[in-house]
Amino acid sequence: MLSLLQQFNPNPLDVYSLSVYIVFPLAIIIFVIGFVYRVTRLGLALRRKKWVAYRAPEGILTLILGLVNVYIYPPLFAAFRNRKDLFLGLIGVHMIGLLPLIFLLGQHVAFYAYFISLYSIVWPLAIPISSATGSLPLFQQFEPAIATRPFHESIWGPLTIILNGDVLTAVSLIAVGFKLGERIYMMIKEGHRPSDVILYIHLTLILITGALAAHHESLPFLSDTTAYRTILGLHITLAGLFLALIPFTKYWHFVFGMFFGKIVEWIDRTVMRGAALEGGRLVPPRRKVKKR
Amino acid sequence: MSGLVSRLNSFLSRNHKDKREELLWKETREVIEGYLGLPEMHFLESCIDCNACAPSCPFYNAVDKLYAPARMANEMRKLYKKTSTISGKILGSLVGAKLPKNEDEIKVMLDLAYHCSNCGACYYTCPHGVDSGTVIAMLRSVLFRYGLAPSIINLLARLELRVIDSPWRSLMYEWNSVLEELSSNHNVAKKDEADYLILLDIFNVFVNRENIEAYLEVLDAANIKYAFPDRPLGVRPPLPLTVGHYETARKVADFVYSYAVMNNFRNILVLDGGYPYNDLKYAYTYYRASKPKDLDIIHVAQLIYESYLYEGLPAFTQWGKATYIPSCNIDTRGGIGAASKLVEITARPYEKHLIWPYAGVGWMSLLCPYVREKLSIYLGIDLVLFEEGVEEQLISDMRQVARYLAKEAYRTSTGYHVFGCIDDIIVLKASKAENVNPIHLSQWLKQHLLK
Repeated sequence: MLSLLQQFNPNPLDVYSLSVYIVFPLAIIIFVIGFVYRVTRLGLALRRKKWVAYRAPEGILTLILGLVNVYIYPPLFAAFRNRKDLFLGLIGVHMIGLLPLIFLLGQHVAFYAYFISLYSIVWPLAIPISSATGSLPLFQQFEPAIATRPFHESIWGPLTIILNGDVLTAVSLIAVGFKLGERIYMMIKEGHRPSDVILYIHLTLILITGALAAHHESLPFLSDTTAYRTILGLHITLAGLFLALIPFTKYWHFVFGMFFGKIVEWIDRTVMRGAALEGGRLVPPRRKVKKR
Repeated sequence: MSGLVSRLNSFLSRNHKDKREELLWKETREVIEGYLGLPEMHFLESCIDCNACAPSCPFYNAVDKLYAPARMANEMRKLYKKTSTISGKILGSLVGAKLPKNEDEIKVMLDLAYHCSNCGACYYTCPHGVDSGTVIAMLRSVLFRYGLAPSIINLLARLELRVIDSPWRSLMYEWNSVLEELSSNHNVAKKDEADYLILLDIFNVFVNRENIEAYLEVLDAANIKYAFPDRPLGVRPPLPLTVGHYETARKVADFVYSYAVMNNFRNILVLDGGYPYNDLKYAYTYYRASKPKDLDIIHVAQLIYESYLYEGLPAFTQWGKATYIPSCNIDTRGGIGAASKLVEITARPYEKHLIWPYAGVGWMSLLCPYVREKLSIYLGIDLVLFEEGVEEQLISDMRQVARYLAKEAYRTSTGYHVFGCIDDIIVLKASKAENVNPIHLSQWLKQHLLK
């Protein structure tokens, strides 16, 4: 293993090398095992009990509208009744926060593409670290072409003012910070589980180490290579831990829970109970009454 | 391998501190093993406590922020994690897995478990499709097995078994005299000629009679052939489901089904606001009653809508201003949109959706003094409050919910407010809520369809 690492780096035991060549692949393996474990458990539970009774749905249109409705209704409801969580939760943490950061930030795209070459198809959608510069210093040594990629010609155009690593990190930090505060309050007031607090602290550390690594050039204490490799290695290690924890913690919701949960709800509400949409004007079939 | 897992499991589940802990552990395991399927596992494991569902809960809005659906359901999740997951057994309270330490904590659990009318609003507003109401119902089942449930509901649930098993003479006398009167006023068919068996129970005959009669008039006008059962089919079947007494609920539901089958009916017509409809038609899989495949449970709103649809719907828009307040177990859990189609909706679409949650007091109307007095007369039992702490608090909180409901209904529109469920009207009247003109769907239909 050590000789394998030496092929990539003369100092194989620094945090960065360990994180990229040991921690991250290991995290992927744990993630896959966890994924299989949770899906298998659900599969076994499926066998144990009958679902609710089946009633023929009122046509294919109801089925389609029902599927749209299960996804649309919660954010619509939140827009009128729960704006705090809509802005800080759905938008702050997810939409203009962690999701584009994780999947579309230029540095991340390059990193994923290094492991899975197919991921490079996402490049046209990649977002830069800041609106002022599109440079990707970390990856200059691997792919010089990336460094000169002109982000101002990217698909996002003027949206780059918002869709850049700095803004997204700031929004994420505010939103995650709010959630962290909320969980600490819940833990003290209601005896809520402490694991949530730990997970949000973990998420905050990932964001901070990522931001530091991305701006190492302008930070004096990270200007030498060793310090930079350490902070970046720490970021990747924490991210690897995040990946490994997904199947076993609440992080599961955005990989599987949300999509699966909504499909379960759709089957329960629309397919099995045949629920027409509220106020729908679909004509039901004429009822046939039979005696025994 | 399975032996190893079972030995490990028994090792991890040993060493209970006391009898109370041992009993809770055992009852939780029984509920989990008996009733956990795929959707329930998802409901138990996928909540991330985002509290997006909270503003849809009437108790959260009207009474206390403590009564957020996720918070209430978490009490069951704590038990589930502690007794049934590896992480819960190893990491304990770090991941929110724990058993209550003392009786006070169990009382808090009881309080949370019964501040839910199972209206289903949290299910619709959850971003991950988690039905906290179902999880809270599981918690009630655990608590019932442990020996805790509100006395009146518990008593009525037990009485239901007695009613279907051997109804006593005085009850049958009252029952027969009311049914004779109903039969003389309406076109009740003979059993072998009728297409529908009307689900008549003690609650509907003695408390909700006015609205039942209005429905019967509409059914008469639509030439629908229906018959009455010659004995009560329960107090409000299957009432034991409310306290999570699944075994009794199964007996009650099986009785209702077998009564219909033995009298050669294929359709049971439910005139109630929704709970019996949903519980007999869909929820029977939860408590494992054996509904025959060719026996259908139909709600009266659906039948009237269909009957008039094929004879040309009347112009609803000329009926005057009204807002339909969806009844939770018809609309959310029952999946019947027809009830709302029978009323002209004057509210704007998004507002219409936002009033979904507020018609959710359901079974709690049984605690109202008006209902208790009526039932006490006919059942011959004093339905007094035994546990002043829990039940008095519930009644007071329910009134707050009703007043909040009235305020929201008024905000939506100022005309009539048509309810599909008598429970909501009873509670609204009991709370002396202002600014709302509640009218039952049956009365609304009688006024407009029969003029």
